[in-house]
This record gives sequence, structure tokens and C-alpha cells, in this order.
Amino acid sequence: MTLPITSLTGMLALSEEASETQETINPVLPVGFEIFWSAVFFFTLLALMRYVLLPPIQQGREERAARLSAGRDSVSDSDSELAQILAAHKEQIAVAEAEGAAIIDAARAEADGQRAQAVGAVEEEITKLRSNAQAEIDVARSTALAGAKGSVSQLAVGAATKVLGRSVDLASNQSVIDSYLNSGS
Amino acid sequence: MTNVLAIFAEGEGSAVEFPPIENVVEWPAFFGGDTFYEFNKIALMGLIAVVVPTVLFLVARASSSTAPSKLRVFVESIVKFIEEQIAKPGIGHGFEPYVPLLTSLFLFIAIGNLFEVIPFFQMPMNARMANPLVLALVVWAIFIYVGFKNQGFRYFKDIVWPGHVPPALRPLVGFIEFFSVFIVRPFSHAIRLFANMLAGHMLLITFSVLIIATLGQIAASASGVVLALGFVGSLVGLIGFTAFEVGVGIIQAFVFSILAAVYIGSSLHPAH
Amino acid sequence: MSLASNALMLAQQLDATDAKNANAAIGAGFAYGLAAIGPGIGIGIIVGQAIQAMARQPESAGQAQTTMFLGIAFTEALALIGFVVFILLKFV
Repeated sequence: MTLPITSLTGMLALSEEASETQETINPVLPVGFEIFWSAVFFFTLLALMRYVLLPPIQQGREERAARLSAGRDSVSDSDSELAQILAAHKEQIAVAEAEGAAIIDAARAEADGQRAQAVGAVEEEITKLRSNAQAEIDVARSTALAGAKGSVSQLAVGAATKVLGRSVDLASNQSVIDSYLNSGS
Repeated sequence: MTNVLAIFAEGEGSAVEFPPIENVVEWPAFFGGDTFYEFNKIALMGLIAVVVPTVLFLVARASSSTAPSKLRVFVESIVKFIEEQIAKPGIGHGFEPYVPLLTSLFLFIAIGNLFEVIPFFQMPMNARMANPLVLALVVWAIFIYVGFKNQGFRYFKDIVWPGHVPPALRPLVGFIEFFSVFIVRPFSHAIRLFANMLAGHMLLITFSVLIIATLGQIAASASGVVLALGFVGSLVGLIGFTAFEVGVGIIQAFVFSILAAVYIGSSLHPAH
Repeated sequence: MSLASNALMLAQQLDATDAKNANAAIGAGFAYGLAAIGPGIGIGIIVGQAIQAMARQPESAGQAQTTMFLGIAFTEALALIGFVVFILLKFV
């Protein structure tokens, strides 16, 4: 391959034209004022981010996380509190129930006592009445018996007189009649 | 095929022609032309890329932290993403002081890149070399500072005279390591972002140019299956690549941030 | 190579700026085309291995993904340098 000399000279001529072609911009090289503005804006954003913008966001997020975990703690706290209150309530209820039972027992005991007393009094009276009645019965019986004994003795003595044909002395046979009557009664 | 060639040949020369590069990457100054503070569209994007995160964070901060608003949840999820997907895997333990830097990098780059698909801007901020270079040099300065602060002179010694390679190879490996860590790193870091965004920008321009050219031919009452296919294909390509570039812009912001985190992490923790 | 020599022959008949542009255009095409080969294969390997890793251990998919992006970024840099060379040759 032979390099055409004219194109080489043309390339040499390029270097002379370089000053002319400098007018077209280089799209790769940075330009001074753009570097200036880039630096200004980026450092502004960096400073703002470092000191103004980011800390409250992170802080707020951490606070919320802390509050969440605190909330979880307080929930468990209130859980245990609830259990305590419940236990206290149960205790109170138990005490009240015990008291109630005691009162009921006492009332029942009192009622029992009163009933027993009343029953006792009534029974006592009944016994008294019964003994009075018994005494009256006894008196009546003994009176009647005494009356009956006298008439029976006379009747027996009369009968015996008739049977024996001789007069039987009442006074001397009184004991026989009595023992007979007593054994019969 | 002949149809297309015919278009190319007879289309008055301007049928399919990529616009001059200065038309697609250079913008007129809004004020201060030809001074060090010349303010053009790129600088406006930088300003917006500062204002948008500031407003987002301030509004999010105004919402109560007990019952966070949707915006606050969004902002917190960005911060969480940067902490858990960028800072922690890249730096390892002790990543907390670098979260503001990485958040700034990620948001600044991502918002700058998204201008590529925003109407009236249609230009990624990072398709100009200045911005990626500044960011890469900031990261470069920080990882060197962190290295010397945490490991002292041993940081430098471990790079130029690595103890884990055979002594005969140490000068060579040390030279390569020195070159790659201190010189190639910032440039590859910057060029990775810059070239990606410039390539995406030029891809979208190419499809737009194709659409305009085919439309012009159709308007000039040319017809043909290939022309119609070319028009429809360019339209579908433009729409598809516009969506693709949104993803590329965010992934490049992620890659830039995680590389920054990896560089800082390699300075923070001595190599094993 | 014949393409380049043909272009040089063609350039013979053109003036110096055209010759420079023609050479630059060819160089730009080769620069980006060649620079895309290696990273293309490399990224394919990285993503394939990452998918394998994720399929074998879905629980560490997040870590594999992050590492995959890092690997892609490092590999892609070569293609991007080729792209920058393309820009430099084509437009400067």
C-alpha cells in the first residue's frame, strides 16, 4: 500500500489550519465557567444536605423508630398493668365473696340460733303445758281413783258380807282391797 | 435499499445529516457571556438540581414525623436506599459520615440526568464534562484525605509498595496501582458518567434527526415501504430509547455514587 | 485495510480538510466499533454469571445485583473511552 503523498501533505497542511479549526468546540473538554457553576451548585447542595436537609429527616426517622419501640414497651407495660388490675379486682372480688359468705354464714347461724331458741322456747312451753296437763290428769286420776277406791271397797265389803254371811269389817280388809285395786290399775 | 440510497443521494444533501456537535452540546449564555460566570442552560439545570432536593427535603421535614406524609415517606425511602444500597455495601461499617455526600451525589446526578428527557431542556447536565469532572475530583480528594486520615502514610505505602505481591513484582505492581488509583480513577469515574450521558443524548438526537428527515421526505411527497418503515422505526426507537434513558440516568447516578462509596471504603478499611 | 486505503485514494482527490475528515471518520468508526467488542462480551459474561448467582442463591440476589452493576460499570468504561475517542475523532 502506497501512501498518497498529497494526502500526507494535506495532513501537514492540517497543522497550519489548526488555528482555524480551533473554532469548533471540543465536546469532551470541560469549560471554565461550567466547572465554576458545577462546583458552586454541588458544594451548595453538599453543605445544605450535610447541615440542613438530611439531619432532620434521619432524626425524625430515628425518633419514630424509638417511639415505635417505646410504644411497644408501653403496650407491654399496660399489659402487665392490666394483669395487675385484673388480679387486684379478682382479689377484691374474692374478699367480697368471702365477706359475703361470712355474712351469710353469720346470718344463717343467727337465724339457726334464733330458730333453735324459738323452737326451744316453744318446746319448753309445750313440755310445761304437757307436764301441767299431766299433773292435772294425775290429780284427776288420783281423785277419781280415790273416789272409785272408796266405792269399790264398800262394794267389795258389802259383797263379801253377803257372800260370807257375816259382816266384814271394812277397815280390817282395806289393805287387801287396796292391793287388789293397785294390781289391777 | 435503493430507495433509501436514493433519498440519501437526492435529498438535497440535508436529508439525513447529524447537526454540528456544538449545536447539541453548547448553549447560549443567559447572562455573563464569555466570563467565568457565564450562565447557560447547563448552569440552570445545576441550579434546579440543587433547588429540587432542597424543596423536597424541606417540605418533607415540615410534615410531622409521627404521621409522615407521602412525600416524607418518599424522601425517607430515598435516604434509606442510599444508606442500605450504596453506603453500606460500598463503605462497610462506619459509613454514616458519608451519607450526606452520597445523597448529594446521587440526587444531583440523577436530577441532572433526567433533564435529558424533560421537554425544553432535552440535555443531560452530565453530558458536559465539567460536571462529572468536578464530582469525580471531589470524590478523589475525599478518598485520598480519608485514606491518609485513617491509615496515615501506610495508605500510600500499601499502594506503591504492596506487601501482598512477590518482592520482584512490587515496583511494577506499585507503579500500576499508583497510576490506576490516583490518576486513572478520577478520570474513568468522570468519563463513565459523561460518556454514558453524551451517548444517550446523541442516540436520541439521531432518532430525532431520522424522524425529521423521513417526515421531510414524506412531506415532499416521496413514498415507499422503506421510508414508511424508517419513519415508524425511528418513532418507536425514539420513544423506546427515551424510556431507556430514564433508566440509564438513574442507574448511572447509582453507579457513580456506589463507586464513590467503594473508593472511600477502600481508603477507610486497609486491604486484607 | 482496503477500505482505509481506498479512502486515502479518495482523499487524494480532495483537499486537506476533507482528507482529515475522511480519515477521522474512518478512525472514529473503527475506534468505537473495536472498543465495543470487548466490553460487549465482558458485560454479557458478568450479567450471565450474576443471573446464575441469583438463581442459585436468591436470598443474596441484592448483593449479586450490586456487584453486577459495579462490574458492568468497570467493564463499560472501556467502551465509553472508545466512544470518547470517537467523539474526539469525529467532531474535533
